[in-house]
Amino acid sequence: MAKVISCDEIEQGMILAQPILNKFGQILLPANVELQKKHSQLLKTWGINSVSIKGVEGEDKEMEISEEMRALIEDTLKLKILWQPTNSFEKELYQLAFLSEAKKRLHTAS
Amino acid sequence: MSSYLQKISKNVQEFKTLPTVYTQLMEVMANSRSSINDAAMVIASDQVAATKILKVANSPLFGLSTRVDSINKAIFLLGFNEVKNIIIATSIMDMFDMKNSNAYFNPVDFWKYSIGVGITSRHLAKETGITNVDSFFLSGIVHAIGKLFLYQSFPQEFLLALEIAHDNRLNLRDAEREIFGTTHTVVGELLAERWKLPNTISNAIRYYPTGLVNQAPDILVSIVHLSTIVAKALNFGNSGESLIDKPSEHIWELLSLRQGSLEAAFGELTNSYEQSVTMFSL
Repeated sequence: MAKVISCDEIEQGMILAQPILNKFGQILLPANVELQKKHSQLLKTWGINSVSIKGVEGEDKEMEISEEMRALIEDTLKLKILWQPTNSFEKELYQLAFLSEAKKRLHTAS
Repeated sequence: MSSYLQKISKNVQEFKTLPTVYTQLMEVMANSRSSINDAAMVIASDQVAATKILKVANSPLFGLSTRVDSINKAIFLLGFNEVKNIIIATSIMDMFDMKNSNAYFNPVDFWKYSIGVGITSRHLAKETGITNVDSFFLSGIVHAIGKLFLYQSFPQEFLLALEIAHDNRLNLRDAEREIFGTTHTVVGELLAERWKLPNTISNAIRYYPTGLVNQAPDILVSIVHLSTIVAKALNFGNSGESLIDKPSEHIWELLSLRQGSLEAAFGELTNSYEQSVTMFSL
């Protein structure tokens, strides 16, 4: 999963998940470019403060969700999703809804 | 009951048409001797359309790795069809009032949702291995246009339908049938006819709730169908509906998506969505 980091956190070898655009929508760096340490400074001179990079495998589950929060999210989803996932794709859809709800809550909390 | 449908049809007949730049472009495209330059000149004569095309072409929606700085280049990179689709999408967005939001419906959030469906449709089309992904983003953006039309023409009645659906955990189309004797999908199809949109698009508008066109599975419509569910799951804008439908049974076999590809799209879709709504200044 992609994550957004500040330009100061750029490390050699990180892969851009999203192209970097200026305010006119022009592409400064395309997606999938392997970042170099020097990009950190360059991007800052372009007025870019954060970039979206591809996550490392296994790092996806870093969102910390307490049991309490999990229960809250599941209750919210019960009001929107009145069906039971019956195959792996439907489980993925449920998981997307779960992640989105979790992200929303973590955002409003911070 | 049928009186609403008559009134709606009449309103649709009197509703705005697509701008002249669109009709002129269609004429140029129909002429086999036309060049990219001819089309670019038609578009460039409409400053508003030209600016919007460049903005959208450079957006993450299309994920182009080079900067699109001219209409010629936009046509070269995206093709006539997709450029025409951008004109249709942005023109339709301009036809409706963004104001007058309400507890049950907010046009700005509705467009955010629609853009989310557009982005997701294009993404899923690529995931499915479709080589020509033209029209997916347009189909997604306009799929629920009937809702906005009903909201604009019969605000009180439409809000009542939304309220009934919300309070009773009903499907919105069932509530619309109670009030209007018809649904936003049928109204949307009337609009598509008014605008002379291609069949592929009007099918997406009419049949996105199932993905079936006259009982037969259709790839584009099925992808838009799944995308509405993904966009709602990801909280992209607000469709006005509080329920997330169960996907139609047929789509998994039809689309043969890779296992894990939906969940894996979380980051990419959320990012493109956020960048795109900023671009459309929503």
